Amino acid sequence: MHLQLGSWRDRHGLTRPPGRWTGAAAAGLMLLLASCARSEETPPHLTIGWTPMPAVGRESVAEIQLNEAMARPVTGARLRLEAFMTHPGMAPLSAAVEEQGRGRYRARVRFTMAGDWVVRLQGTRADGRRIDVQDDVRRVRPVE
Amino acid sequence: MTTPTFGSDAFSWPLVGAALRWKHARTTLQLTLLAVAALMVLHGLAGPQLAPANLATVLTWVHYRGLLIVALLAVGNLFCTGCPFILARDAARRVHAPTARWPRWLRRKWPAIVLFVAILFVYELFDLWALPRATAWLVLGYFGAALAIDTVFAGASFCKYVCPIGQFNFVTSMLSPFELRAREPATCSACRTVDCIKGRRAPEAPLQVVRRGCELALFMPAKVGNLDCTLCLDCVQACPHDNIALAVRVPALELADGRRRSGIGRLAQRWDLAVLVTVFVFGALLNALGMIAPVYSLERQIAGAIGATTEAPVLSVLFVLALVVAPALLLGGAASWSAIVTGTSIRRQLLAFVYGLVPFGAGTWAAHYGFHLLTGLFTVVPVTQSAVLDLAGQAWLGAPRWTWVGMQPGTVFPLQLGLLTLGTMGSLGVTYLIAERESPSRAIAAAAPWLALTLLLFVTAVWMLTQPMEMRAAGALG
Repeated sequence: MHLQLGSWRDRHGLTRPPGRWTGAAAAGLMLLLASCARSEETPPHLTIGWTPMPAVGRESVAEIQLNEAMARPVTGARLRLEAFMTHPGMAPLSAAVEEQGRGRYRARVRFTMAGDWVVRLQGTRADGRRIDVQDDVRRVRPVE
Repeated sequence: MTTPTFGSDAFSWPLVGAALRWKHARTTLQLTLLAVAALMVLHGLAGPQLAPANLATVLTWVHYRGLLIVALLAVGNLFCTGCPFILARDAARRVHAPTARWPRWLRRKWPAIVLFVAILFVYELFDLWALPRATAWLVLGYFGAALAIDTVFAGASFCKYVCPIGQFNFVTSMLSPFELRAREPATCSACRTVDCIKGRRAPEAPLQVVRRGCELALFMPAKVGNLDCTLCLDCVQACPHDNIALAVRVPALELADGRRRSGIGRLAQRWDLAVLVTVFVFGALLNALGMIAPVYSLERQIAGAIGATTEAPVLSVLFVLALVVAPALLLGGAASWSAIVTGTSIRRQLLAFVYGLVPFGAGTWAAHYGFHLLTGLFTVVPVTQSAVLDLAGQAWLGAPRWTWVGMQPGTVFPLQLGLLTLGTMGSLGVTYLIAERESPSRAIAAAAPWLALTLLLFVTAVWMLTQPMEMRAAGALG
């Protein structure tokens, strides 16, 4: 089949590379999505203490402390905890988070696999502003 | 060895054939992958830097790697067919058409081998699987490299000599069940225009190429196997006689084919290809080793022995042991043994038999990447939901369903073992075929050390599979 192509393209020995409009549309979509992205909240400071230390198959209690700037505790937040392995594609964990007062929260987590985890706390403050903070949990090992 | 006849031509199949021969088939696939790559980059750069919740890391390290090997083993080099880097390159060539030729002294796989090892090393050193932004930059860097090289040098220099993913695909595609072949050799013999390699010219303007030929210098009548074939279908579109088939074939048989190959030469005369295959095989074990618990104690032992306090020198030693010392001892030992048995040179035995290990290597990669794909197959759903929420601020696809994951790790083990076993059986078979070719009268004796080596590697891989996994983002030293 003979193709009728523009002369400049033929001079360079090239066939028609389609996708000009699709490429422009994709770029436009990216810009649109980027411009729609919400503005960042200043995240609260997160500290998590574990009792006992996390181990595979053993329940550990996460004592969570959330403070705003100037050490002002985050009170009345509605939170959920999710724990992810650092390697993508593995099953995450989720746990309910109970408020203990003065910026302290508590969750019970049973890690399911050895390795490095990231704990992510998401939810909203009492005034509706979003919270999304995370902390590393390194080297979770089997119970010895 | 004579060319085996093939039973079927996929181009003649209903629907599939028409879809494959559609002139925009490749571009459609490329545009799809380009859109996915754009989303990955956008989310990697602007989304949360939490690898399991970011499209850049999830799609790259779970889905792309897994689907890549599935496609290679089930069909062929489809990800080279749909490579979006080439789409970007073609667009750039509309502005600037390259005229330079790739330097003759670089017309081997050495640059790609160095990059292949470098990517494996960087992946372990910086824990790339846990870094969305770095993964996005890696994708962008790939686009940049393909653009930079292929807007300076004509042909598919990047694909043939530089791209490490391409080399991985080329080696694995030797096991693919499909191959582009001349349908009727007599038609090729009578052909005077050789459009499959030179490109189709406009009759009224013979200097104008209207359909490009093979950019990887694979001349269809002399093409043997899938090595260096990107399955771009340029030859199919260019052939004026419609004489190219996507033939069903016996996978892996080409590994024992000693004929001269167009654009490549004889496998048994290419040190670079032998080293590429060695990195492919031993790199598969090394890459999987990084996932299991014993690697921590091994790294600590190495650190103690060399007095290192950072991971880079420890990993360097590990890489040298796995990719240089172990292959030198094992391959050198097997080659020495078969050289003594057959009365030929060690070099000849090494360059002939190393290809027999390719099925085992592919089985190991498939067992590893198949694990991630199957255990994380559905994570793309909550991560996409999360990405929409991250990028648009609205849960247009609903709240992320993080419970959508995939198979339980334990249930994947039989499949992994099956893939390893299948690969090992393939290696045993191919090794025997190579021995029959090299030493027809002493085939079993010549093959014996290589068969033993294959079984040793199989036992090693099975041992690794049975070790407790430890998904890590930091090495033993922190």
